[in-house]
Amino acid sequence: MAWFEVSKLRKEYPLGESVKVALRDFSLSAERGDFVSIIGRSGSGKTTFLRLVAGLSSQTSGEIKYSDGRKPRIGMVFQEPRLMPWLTVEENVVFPYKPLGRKNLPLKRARALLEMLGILDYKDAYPSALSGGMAQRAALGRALCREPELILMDEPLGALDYFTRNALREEILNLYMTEAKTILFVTHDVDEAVAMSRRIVVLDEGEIVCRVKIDLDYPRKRTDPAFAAIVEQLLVSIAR
Amino acid sequence: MILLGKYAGKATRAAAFLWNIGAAIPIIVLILWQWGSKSGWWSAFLLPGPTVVMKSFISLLATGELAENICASILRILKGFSFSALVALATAFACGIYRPMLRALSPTFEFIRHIPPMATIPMLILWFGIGEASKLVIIVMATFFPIFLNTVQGVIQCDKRLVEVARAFGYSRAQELRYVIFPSALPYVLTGMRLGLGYSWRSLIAAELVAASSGLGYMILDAEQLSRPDVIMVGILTIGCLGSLMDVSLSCLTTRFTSYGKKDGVV
Ligand SMILES: Nc1ncnc2c1ncn2[C@@H]1O[C@H](COP(=O)(O)OP(=O)(O)OP(=O)(O)O)[C@@H](O)[C@H]1O
Ligand SMILES: [Mg+2]
Repeated sequence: MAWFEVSKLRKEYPLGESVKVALRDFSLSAERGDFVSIIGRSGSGKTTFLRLVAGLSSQTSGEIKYSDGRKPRIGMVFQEPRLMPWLTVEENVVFPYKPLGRKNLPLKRARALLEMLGILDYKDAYPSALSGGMAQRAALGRALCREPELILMDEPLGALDYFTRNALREEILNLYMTEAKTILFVTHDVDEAVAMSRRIVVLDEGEIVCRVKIDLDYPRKRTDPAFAAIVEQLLVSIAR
Repeated sequence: MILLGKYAGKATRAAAFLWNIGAAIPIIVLILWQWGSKSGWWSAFLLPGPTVVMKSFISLLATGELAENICASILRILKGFSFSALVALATAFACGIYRPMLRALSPTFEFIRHIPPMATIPMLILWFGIGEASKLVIIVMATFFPIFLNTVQGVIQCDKRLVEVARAFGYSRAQELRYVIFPSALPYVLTGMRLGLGYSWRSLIAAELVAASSGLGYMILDAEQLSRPDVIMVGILTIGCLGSLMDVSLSCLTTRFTSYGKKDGVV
C-alpha cells in the first residue's frame, strides 16, 4: 500500500432539488516525496478534492488513508492568500505554530522563508500593505513553515504575473528537491504541471480521465520534444 | 506625490482650523458663563458663576466628599461592568458560533433590550431596596446588550475562510476560537464595550438620583434638597469629565488593537 491512498472518493453537493456530483470514483495514491498535479477545467472538482484531503469537508463516500494510520501534518495554500488581517506578515507565516505558545514560535525559520520568498522587508507589515502576489507568497511561507509532511496547493500561482509566477515555480521546485516534501498541486496550467510534477491526473466533471507519469529530469525544458509530447497528450485529454 | 502632499496639506490645515474652533467652544461657554453671572443676566440661584462652582469644588475636594462619591460610583461601574461584560461575551460567543442558540434566545433578548433600565427602578427598589444590588442590575441591563449585540455581530462577520485556514493547519475548535474568531471579533467587542460603558455610566447616575445613599447621582440629589446649585454643577461637570475620560481610555484601547490594515501606504 502506498503512503497516501484515496479510493473511490465521491463528493455530492446539494444543489436546489438535485445534487451536484463534484467528484466521482476518484482514486489516487502517492508515495512520500511524490509531486502529483491535478489539472482540469474550472469546476472540474480540483478544489473539492484538496478540501477533502485537508479535512475541510467530508466525502459522501470513499476513503482517504495513510499507510501509517495517522493524518500527516498538512500545509495548505488556498486559491486566495487568506492571511489573517490582524497579524503581521511574519506572524502570519508562523500561524501554524500559534497554538504551541508564544515562546515556541520559530521566528528564525519564518525569516528564512520570507527571505527565500523575497518579502523579508515586509515582515512587520500587515497584509493590507501587500500586493496580491506578495500576499500569495506569504501564504506559501505559512504553508511551508511547520515542516508539513503533505503540502496541498490550490493554484498558488494563479493570481500572479508571469515573472513572479516563474520565480515562485522555481522556488517550489527547489523546495521540493531539497526537502523531499509530498505535494498535491492543483493548477489549470498544463505547462506548469508538466514542468513541475512527477505525475499528473486530469479531472473532468469530477472524474479522472487521464493519468500521466513524467520521468523527465529537472530542470525541464519546454523545448524538449518529450515535454511537448506530454503537453500535447494532456491537452487532447482535456479537450475531449 | 508632491501634488498629493499639497492637497493633504490643505486638508490638514482645514482640519486644524476646525479643531481649533471646536476646542474653543468650552472656553467661550466658560467666558460667557462668567461674564453673564458677573453682570447679573440671571439670578445666582438659577446658575451660580464659575468661581462659586470652583470654590465649592475645592471645598468638596477638601472634605473628601467628592472623592468618596466618585469612588462609590466608579466602584459600582467596575463591578457591574466587568460582570456584565463577562456574561455578555460568553453568551455572545456561544450564540455567534452556535446559531440555533441565538435564535432561541433572541425573542427574550429582543423584549428585554427595549426596556430602559430606569423604567425598572421602582421594581428594583421594591425588591432590593436602595442597596448596591439595584444599581448593579441597572448597570448590567445597560451594558449587556451593546456588548452582546456587537460581539455577536463580530463573531458572525468572521470570515469562514480564515477559520478554514486554521482547521487545515490542524487547529482544534478551541484554538480556532482563540486564534481566529476572537481576534477577528475584537474590534466589535471593543466597540460594544465602549458603548456599554457610556450607557452604564449614564444609567448609573440616573439610578443614584433615585435610589442611593452614595455616589455622584446621590450627591446631586442631596444638593438639590439642600438648595446648593453650585454643588449640583460640580456634580454635573464631574460626571461629564469622568464619562469622557472613560470613553477616551477605551477608545485608545480600541485604536491600539484595531489599527491594523488602516494605515495607508506600504509598510
Ligand atoms: N459548497 C458548494 N456547494 C455546492 N456546489 C459546490 C460547492 N463547492 C463546489 N461546488 C461545485 O462543485 C464543482 C467543483 O468545484 P471546485 O471548486 O472543486 O472546482 P475547481 O476545479 O476547483 O474549479 P476552479 O478551477 O474554478 O477553482 C463545481 O461545479 C461547483 O459548482
Ligand atoms: Mg478551485
